[in-house]
This record gives sequence, C-alpha cells and structure tokens, in this order.
Amino acid sequence: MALNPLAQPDTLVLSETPLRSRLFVGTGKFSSNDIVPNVIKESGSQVVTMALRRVDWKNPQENILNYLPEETILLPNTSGARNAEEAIRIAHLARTAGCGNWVKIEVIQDQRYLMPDNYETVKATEQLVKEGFTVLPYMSPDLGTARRLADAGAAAVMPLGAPIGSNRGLKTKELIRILIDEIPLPIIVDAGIGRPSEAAEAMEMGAAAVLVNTAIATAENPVAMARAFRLAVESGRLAYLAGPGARQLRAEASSPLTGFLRS
Amino acid sequence: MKIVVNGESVELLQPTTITQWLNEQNGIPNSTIIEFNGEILSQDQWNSTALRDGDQLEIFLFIGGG
Repeated sequence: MALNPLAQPDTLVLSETPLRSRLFVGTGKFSSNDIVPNVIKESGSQVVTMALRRVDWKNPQENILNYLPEETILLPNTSGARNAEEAIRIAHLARTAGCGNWVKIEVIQDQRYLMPDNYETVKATEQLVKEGFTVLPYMSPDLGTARRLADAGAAAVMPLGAPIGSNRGLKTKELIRILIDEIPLPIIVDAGIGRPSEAAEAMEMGAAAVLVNTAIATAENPVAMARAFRLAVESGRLAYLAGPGARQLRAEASSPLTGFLRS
Repeated sequence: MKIVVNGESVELLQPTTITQWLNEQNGIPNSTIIEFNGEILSQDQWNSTALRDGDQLEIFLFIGGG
C-alpha cells in the first residue's frame, strides 16, 4: 500500500537542500517592490528569482535583494543572455555578489516569443555544473534536450508551459508529461502558468514544482494571488500523491444502482 | 583622465579608487557588482583598486526578474 501522504512531510530536495514549498516565485513586473515581501510571505516560497542588469545611471533602480527575506534561496536568472558565454558570465557575476551558487539558465535570442535556445542552454549547463553551480535550466520541453541537461548534471529541468509572461497556461502539457515520465530529475514548470488551476494541474500530473511570476505580479491583488497559488500548488501536489482515480468515457454511478424503493 | 563606465565615457578630476568613486555617485545603489577591465572584482578589492586612464567599469545590480 502506498504511504499515507497526509502522514509524511513532503519535501522537494534540490542539490541536497530540502524545500517545503513547491512554488518558486519571480520578482519581475511588480508595480512596486514594496509588495514583494508580502507576496513572498503569502506564497510560502523559499526559492525566489531575480535578474542582473547594468545599473542605469539616469534612473537608478533599487536592489531587489533588499526586499527578500533573509532565509530566501536566491535563484538569479541569466535573462538577457543570448548565448552560453553570456549566461556563464552572468552566473559568475551573481556568485561574486554572494548570491550562493544556484542559477537559472535562461538563454534567449527570439524576441517575439522569448523561446529559450536549448542548444546554448545545454552548453551553459555543462560548464556551470563543472564549476560547482546548482543549475536549473529553463528550456523548451524536448526529451532529447532534457536528457542532455540531466547528463550534464542539472539539478532540475524547467520546461515552459507557454511563452514567458503570456499567462496562457499549460500549452505544452503533453511534452511536459513525457519529461516527467522519462527524466529522473525534478521537473519544474516555468513560464506561462497564468492561473492557480493551471499550477494545480501541473502538480497533479507530477511536476516537482512550478515557477510563477507574471500571473502573480499582474494580478489586481498580487498578495492574494500569491496565496491562491500557494494553495493550488499544495492541492495539486497532494492530489498527485493521493493518486487520482481512473478516467472513463461512460458514467459509473456513485450511488448504488438499486431502485429507491424496489430493486 | 577618462574611464568608461557601462559604455559611457566619464571624466575623473583626480586620482581615485573604485570605492571612492562609487561613494561620489548618487545614482549607484549600495550593493552592486563590478567588472573591472573584464575581470570580476570582489568588494574587498574595490578599496585597493585605483582607477587609471582608459579603465573600463561595468556595474551591475540585481533587479526584479522571473
């Protein structure tokens, strides 16, 4: 008999780090950084992404790190990188800044759909794993690439559900399902998830975690939406562990089929 | 003496270190990451690094991102 999921602590272990929360959140696009601490609190997230950019002299920006709880695991992304070399450079800069050694590889040349370059992503992953980074690569869901990322030593594989920021949901669901089935690493759905129900759906099918940014940041009330995503991710995960029943075309009565008064 | 900061030419009126120069810039937030002539500098090297004519600084910062 399967273990009782209600009686076990459910932990996602990434690079020997146990995580209670399976919701990772991004910090982009919020109307103000001031709400970021509350968003993170309500999301329950322990892993938070951020980006690295040149300082803009004319419009100095705030350091997002000032808004993150101290115990947060920082997951700097390599957004802006167009090839493996640039991604590696960003990872080095982030590590120098004392961000730890986790990095989300994101290599993009396509400016319309922001689709990741899987080939350059594999190259960057190979190099950064050798240098001791915990590498979480963002990728287009493709089994061959996912296998190469696993062979390269990635800590997880992060396929997109739909283009970044599109809020369109799990458009790549069947491809992600194949990765979950075939790849012996945590599969973290990153990008495209627009509603808590879609996060729950990803978790129900066995995703190890989801990464959500735009769906929370662009909600009318991001703090409440962060809580909604937390509940959805927990719900979907528990449903996965509980083992959903089989689907069938025809009805099967939930009540006994005998007549009310006579058989 | 001129240095290049994030691709822009900047005139220095007197010899200075990276730390001193940063302190004079109002637009630069406190915790930044610096590449000096293509090499990443740790913060403890800022104080001991004197800026010379033609030096190139790239200054980075963490901002919101997904």
